[in-house]
Amino acid sequence: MSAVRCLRLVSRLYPRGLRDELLEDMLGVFERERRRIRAARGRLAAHAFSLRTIVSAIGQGLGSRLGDSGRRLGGVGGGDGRGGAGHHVRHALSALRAAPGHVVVTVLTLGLGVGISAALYTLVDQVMLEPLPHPGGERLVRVWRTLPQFDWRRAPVSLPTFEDWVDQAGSFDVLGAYSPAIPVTWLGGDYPERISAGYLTDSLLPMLGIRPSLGAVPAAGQGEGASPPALVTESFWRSRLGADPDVVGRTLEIEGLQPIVTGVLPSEVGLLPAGVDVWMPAAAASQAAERDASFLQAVARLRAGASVAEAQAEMEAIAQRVAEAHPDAANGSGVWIEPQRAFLLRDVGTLLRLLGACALLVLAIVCASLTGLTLTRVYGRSQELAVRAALGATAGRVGRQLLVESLLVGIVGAAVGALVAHGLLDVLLAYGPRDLPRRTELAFDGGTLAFVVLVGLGSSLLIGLLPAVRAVHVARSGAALRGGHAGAAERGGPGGHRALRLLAAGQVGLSTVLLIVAALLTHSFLRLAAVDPGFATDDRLSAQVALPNERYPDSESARAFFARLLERAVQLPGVRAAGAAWALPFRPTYGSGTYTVEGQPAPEGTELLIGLVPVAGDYFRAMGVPIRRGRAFTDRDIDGAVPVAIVNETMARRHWPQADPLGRQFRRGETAYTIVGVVPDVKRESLAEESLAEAYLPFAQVAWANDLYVVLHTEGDPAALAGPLRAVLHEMDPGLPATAISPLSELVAETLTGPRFRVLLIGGFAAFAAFLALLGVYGVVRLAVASRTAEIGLRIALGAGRGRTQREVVSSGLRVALAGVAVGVPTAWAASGTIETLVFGIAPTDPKTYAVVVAALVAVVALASWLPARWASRIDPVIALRR
Amino acid sequence: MQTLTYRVLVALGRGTSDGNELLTRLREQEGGEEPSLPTLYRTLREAVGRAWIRVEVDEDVSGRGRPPRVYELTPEGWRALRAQADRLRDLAALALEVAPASDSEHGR
Repeated sequence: MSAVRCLRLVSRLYPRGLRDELLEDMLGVFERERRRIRAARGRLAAHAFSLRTIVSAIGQGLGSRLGDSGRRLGGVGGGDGRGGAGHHVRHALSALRAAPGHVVVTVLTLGLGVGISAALYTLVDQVMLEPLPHPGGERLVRVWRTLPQFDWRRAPVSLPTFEDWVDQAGSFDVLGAYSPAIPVTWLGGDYPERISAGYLTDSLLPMLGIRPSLGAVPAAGQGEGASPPALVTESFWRSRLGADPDVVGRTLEIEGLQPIVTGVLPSEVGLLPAGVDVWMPAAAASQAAERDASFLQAVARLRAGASVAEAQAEMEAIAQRVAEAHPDAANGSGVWIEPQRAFLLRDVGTLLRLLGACALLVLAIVCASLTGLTLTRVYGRSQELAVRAALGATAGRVGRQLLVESLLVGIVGAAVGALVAHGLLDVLLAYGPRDLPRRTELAFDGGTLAFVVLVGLGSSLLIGLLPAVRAVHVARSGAALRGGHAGAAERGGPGGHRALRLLAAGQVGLSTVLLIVAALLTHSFLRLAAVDPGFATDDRLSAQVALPNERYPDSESARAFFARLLERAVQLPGVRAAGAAWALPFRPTYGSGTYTVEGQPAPEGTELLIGLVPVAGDYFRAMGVPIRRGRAFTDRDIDGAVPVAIVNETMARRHWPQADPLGRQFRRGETAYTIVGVVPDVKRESLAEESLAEAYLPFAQVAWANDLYVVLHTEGDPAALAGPLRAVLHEMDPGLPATAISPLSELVAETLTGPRFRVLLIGGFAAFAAFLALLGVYGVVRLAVASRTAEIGLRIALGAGRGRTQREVVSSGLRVALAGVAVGVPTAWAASGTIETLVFGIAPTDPKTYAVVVAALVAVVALASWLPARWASRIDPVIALRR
Repeated sequence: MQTLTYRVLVALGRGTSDGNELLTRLREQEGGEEPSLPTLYRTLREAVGRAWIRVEVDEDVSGRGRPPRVYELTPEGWRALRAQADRLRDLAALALEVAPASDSEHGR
């Protein structure tokens, strides 16, 4: 929500008679002034201006209303005869000054609640709800090839097929495409370096409304040749090109190409993938002309009025025609149109919805808690309120007075909430998942501010409402004046205590839901972290070494290089074993293909898919992957010998569940591979994944892999071997970079970042909510004990044991807690389906987790109730009965 | 007359103005704080109610949305401004009579 909309909403507080053309003009002036301040002094100053204006408008609006009411009531105040908003405010300030502790607790609690909710609202709003930042953003769709035989719905497309789509499709205004980041070697620095190149079609940037911050988008149709135009990203421009202002026209030295820079693009912009250093035309890619080389992801903007269903129908027909025209390259002829927003939210939609629900729960708990607190304070002020009523203040005036107090606290609470929201958003940006969609757009904006102001003030009014009603009741009844010196708390009466118990039970119920969700996520995270990735992570170092085709043109030269490298690496002090593989777990490179096993056809309409991993040297020992059966590769497994493979347990189980897989064969094309060993499954992309059938092939028998990840098993800190490994590489080939150097343990840890963040975030909210709920129960029990002091004293005097007194008090607290739990558990159970995709290894209705949460909550509530119970049991009957 | 009302009348005395221009003039007035927009508009509304200020649509501005309003002193507004200025001048003269000169020390 924009600040202007917020101000418009707030202006509804003005009495109807004041909502005139001047108010409309003020809104226009506000908008223009805000824009001016933002341009001249930055976003923060614009926020400050908005906050000041909105708060002032609330003051004016309420002031006008209260002033009107006051005048209508004839100014019957606490005896002074004045009746405007100013008087209300002055009186409220004086009342609040008398209770600094109450004010501080209320402001901080409200600030935390509002801040947390505002940060989560911003996250949900900006990621899920805000319009996509591209022209016609809501009409943007992804156009995928589908490969149903592999159950693959989001397959990329080749440039020739994409061009066929462009020629034939009528449902779109425009189609564009880009590739993910592809590693290339940059030779323009002091030493060769791996950087990331991306390829895009001419139409993509204009379609997305992306303009270079420097220079210009290359003219269309200039991709071919050795010197294609290129756009460098800002981070590359700064880090590698020294932020050269004359970069346009400069030639980049990239292996095999000499692209000429035409401009500088922002590093992370719109839907383009992050991490790309240089963008070049798709036509410049080496595989651009191959219809089999699917390396582009297509995006399109639907023609105005065209629906996704229409585009889907049209594209299916086009895909069919293209498949028929190129039967050899079809490899599946399906197409799937997916709205861009759905694509963005594919992995985070559930989490964001959960966070949105958490925000509401936290806010509800905060409101309930503060209502209870304020209500308790009203009972404590019974005498004061009754005196004011006796001096002539109307009950309505007393109630309004309470509301103004609440509102004043709400204004300060909202300001604290703005700070909390700002800080929490910074934390989300710094420590949140890096793959959060639209992360770069996430910021504290006018919408956040509007939320803070509206929710902060709305909550404060809500919090003040029930106490105001009770205050009216107290003022009217005058019981406090008649009650002599009896405990002030007593004036709440049975109705007041019931309200407090209900509020406390409500808090326990809501926090039970949050605690159960947090516990399920924690339990799930622990299970995930305990998953065996299938390889050892301690004392392992990995680094990627990519051989340039120019200097290593054939597999012979590559094999010779890696053999020599591994031979030298294993001789480094501190290295126990050295190996290499084309694909490493949790690294992007991975290849798969189809295979057959004689006598075991694939199910109808599908093909068998297998992951292929060429390995070299002592790979299995270096990775800590044990050979379960058979043998590792040897020097005899070379080109020309019998093709061999080591398969994983999933593959062995799938095809030879009861038999020995050793000596069996599977085929890929014309080649039959004989299985010589079986190893455990190794996780590739995520610890939660089901393993694919996988085959390791000896590097010496593979002709298509030039990039390998070297893995060293070290004796101590693996990071210490990074330098020596680089030195060996430099000695062997000074023009060869080693990239992506990191211990294997870090690769695994990175995969846990997202789940850990979820646990910490939701766990933190749950802990905050539970703390407030406990305070609520404590407050109720404490108030009940205070109001029954005389009765408890009498019972003790009559012989009731102190232990029994304690048990009674504790059980009154437990009754409140159990009432809350009785509502919270079924609610959590009913809502459990929504987090099904976020938990791993347990059911979202896992009874053990529920039981642990309930037991822990009851135990802590018992403890919170025990403190007032102890106090009750120590009441001196003589003193109590004198009161 | 409240200080802000007086400042608004002075600012409009320099010429007809829209809301943004008025805000700028108030900001640039010597010794004056910039009021919040709702406070400024409350003051404007009160001045309009007293017929000191006239509101008109700025026909010169075209484009999307409502055209801005321009504010202009009425003859009554000029008279009120003049009367307040005279009052302030008299008050200032009174103060100057009793206050010591700025280079002498108070109390000696």
